[in-house]
This record gives sequence, structure tokens and C-alpha cells, in this order.
Amino acid sequence: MENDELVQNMLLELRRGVLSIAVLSQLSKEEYGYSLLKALSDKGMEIDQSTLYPLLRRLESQGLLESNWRIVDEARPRRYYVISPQGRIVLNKLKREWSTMTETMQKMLS
Amino acid sequence: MTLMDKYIAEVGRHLPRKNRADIEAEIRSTLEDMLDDRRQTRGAADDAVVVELLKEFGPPQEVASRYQTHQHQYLIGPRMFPIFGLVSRVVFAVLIALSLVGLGTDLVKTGFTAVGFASSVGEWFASTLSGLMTALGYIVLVLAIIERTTVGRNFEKESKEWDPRELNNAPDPDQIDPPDHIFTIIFTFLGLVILNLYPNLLALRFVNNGLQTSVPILTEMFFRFLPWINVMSLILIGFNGFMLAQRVWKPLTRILSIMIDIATAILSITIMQTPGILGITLEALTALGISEGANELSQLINSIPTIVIAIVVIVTMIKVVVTSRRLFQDKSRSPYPITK
Repeated sequence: MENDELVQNMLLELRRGVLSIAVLSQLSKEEYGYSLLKALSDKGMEIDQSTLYPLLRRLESQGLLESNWRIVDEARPRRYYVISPQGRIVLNKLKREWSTMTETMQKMLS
Repeated sequence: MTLMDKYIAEVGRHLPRKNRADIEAEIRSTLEDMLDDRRQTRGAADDAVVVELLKEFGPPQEVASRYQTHQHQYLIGPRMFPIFGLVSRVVFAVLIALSLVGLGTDLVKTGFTAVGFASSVGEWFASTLSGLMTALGYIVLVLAIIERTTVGRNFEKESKEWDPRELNNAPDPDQIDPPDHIFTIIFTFLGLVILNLYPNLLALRFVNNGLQTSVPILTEMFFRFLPWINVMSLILIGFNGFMLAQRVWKPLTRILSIMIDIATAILSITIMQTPGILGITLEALTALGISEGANELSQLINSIPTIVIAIVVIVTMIKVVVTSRRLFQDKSRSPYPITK
């Protein structure tokens, strides 16, 4: 029981770092929050909406995302997010780092 | 006002004013998207579906708190915490020292009666505690302001520009402080020489009607304790000499140090409580023809023993507490033996 909690906490920490890369990678085209949530979920990355929205705001405040409110197809107003030029540079760096890291971890864990 | 409106308003209450409207609008847009989804799968969305949706979204306060993760959620953050520790220790030490001086003065005034002692110590404890709490509040307040200002940000920048070559050696609490022991030996030795060989030096000298006269400060009554003083002084000199040779404190030497401190305190208090140890009395001064200010002078001199007792008690208490603390640290500090 105690170990389960420990594992849960460690997984949470592990996911926290990965989520930013996952979100940046899915915003090469504009998405609003809920559509992004579903896009991530479709690809197997389940994320809580109360985690996603603050994360989007944080990435935006760091200059990695851009956003604007728009009404598309007469639907309700939605806030659309897209990766910024700076975000692309950061994402490319993170991708390279991620590849190295997974390679290293594969070697260590196999 | 619908249930969703109430929910969004409640989340908004816990959000920073700056982004509140924007975040509220986004939450509303998301909730409506989610509700649309449910309408499509279930055909309709009644109150029960909204309740289920809001429960899934999370308690308002928790949802709001997630938007504040990038802001200060602490009064004193990790970068300021070492300073907080250092400042607190210094301020607390100064406050305690000052309050102990106050306690000593109070004890002198009350004349060491049981009731007076209990009342003084009680008042001292309450006022010291209150003083420490107030000081702690001010320290937290000041550091919290620094944390949120440019000063704090500059501090962070500076703390990153450090040079490992500037690191000091870690202080070893077991290492003796030689000047401290040398100082004790020299002054104890000087005291022994004066008390045994030149007791006449301990006198107040006056020029009265052109004639130089003197009054011995200490009486025969005091010198009855001289053998005890000599024994104690020799023990003190021997112990400090031994410590200089050893260079390090060990549990046994710390225990010995505590015993010597207590024995010295007991001897000092016994001597100071003995009546008639001081020779500067009103009678002695009058006999020498000193009348002007004689009363005040004798009163002043005769209050010295009480002050000495208070100082000795306080200093011994501090020394015993400090040595005992280090004694217990000896046992718990290192999980493996350290070769000195």
C-alpha cells in the first residue's frame, strides 16, 4: 500500500516533466483546450483538464505558446493555442534531449 | 444563476484578480464543450449530468490553485531559507542574551528569595517567548518582502555566481579553541598569584587630608575559602592544560568540564553568600576619616556579591547547556567512526 503511493508519486513527477513536451508537440496547428485534451487522449496521453489548462497558461507566459480567443464555425468563443517560434526552438532541443535520455534509459533498464 | 455559473464564480473567487475573467471564460468554454460531448452520447444533459461533470472537473478551490503553481505559494522560498535560518539564530541569540541580562538584574533586585525567583523566572519566560515570537514574525515579514522584490531576484543571481574556492573548512565542534583555554589558564594563574602572594593589591586606595590610605577589598572571612579557591583553580589550570594537549573534546572531557563549571559556580555562590567577605564597609571608611560619599560607596561595593552570583548562575547555566548539547551531538552526529 505504501509502495503503491510511492510509485504513484514518482509517476506523477515523471509525467509532469513529459507533459510539457507532449503539449508543445501537439500544437504545431491551432487547438483549443478541449480539442487538445482529446487529441492527447487519442494518442494515449491521458491528462486531467485541471492540469492541462494551467500548463497551457504557463507555457504561454514562458513565451512558448501563443493564444487568442476566436469564434470558429459559429460555435462558442474558444481560446486557441499554437506553438510560438520560440516554442519550436525549445521543442526541437527538448526532442533531442528526450531521444538521448530514452536511449540512455533503455540501456540502463534493459 | 445556473449550477455551472455558481461553480465558475466559486473558482473565480480563488483566482488572482489579474487573470480571473480570462480563466473563468476558458473554464466555461471547456465545461460547455464537455457538456456538449455528454449530450451527444446521452441524448440530453440534465442537472445530474452537470453535477457529475463538475465533480469530475474538481473542487473549485483545487481547480483555482492549479493556476497559481507558477506564483509564490510560500512566504519564504528555498533561496531565502538559509538566510532565514541564519538571521533567526542571530536574532534569537541576541534576544535571549539580553533577556538573560534582564533576568539577572531582576534576580538581584528580588534578592534571590524563592517567591521572587519564581516570579522573575516566570515573567522572564513569558516576555522572552513573546519577544521571540514577535521577532520571528518580523523576520518572516521582511524576508517575504525581499523574496517578492528585485532584491530577492538579485540575490538569486548572486547566489549562482559562487566560487568553490571561497568555501571554508567545515568547523569541527570537537576541535578545541586554544585561545579560550590559554586565556583561562593565564587569568586563573594570575588570580592565584594575587590572592596567595599579593592580597594587599586588592585594596581601594584613597588620598585623605594629604595622606594615602587604603581599605582592603577582601576580609579574613574571604581568605578562609582560599584553600578551596586554590584547589579549584589548580583543577581548572590542569584541565585546560590537558585540553590544550588533547586538542579535541571527548565525551568524558565534556562531562568533566560540566562538573568543573558546576563546582566553580557552587564555590562562587557559597563565597558570595557568606556575610562579611568584603572589607569596604561604612564603618571601615568612616574609621579612615572618609565621610563624603562613604555610604553610597559601601552600598555600591556591597551589592557586588549579589551581581556576581547572578552572573555566575547565568554563565554556568549557559555553559552547561552548550556543553551538554555538544555532548549529546557527539553520540548522534556520526553514523561511522571518524579518524581525527
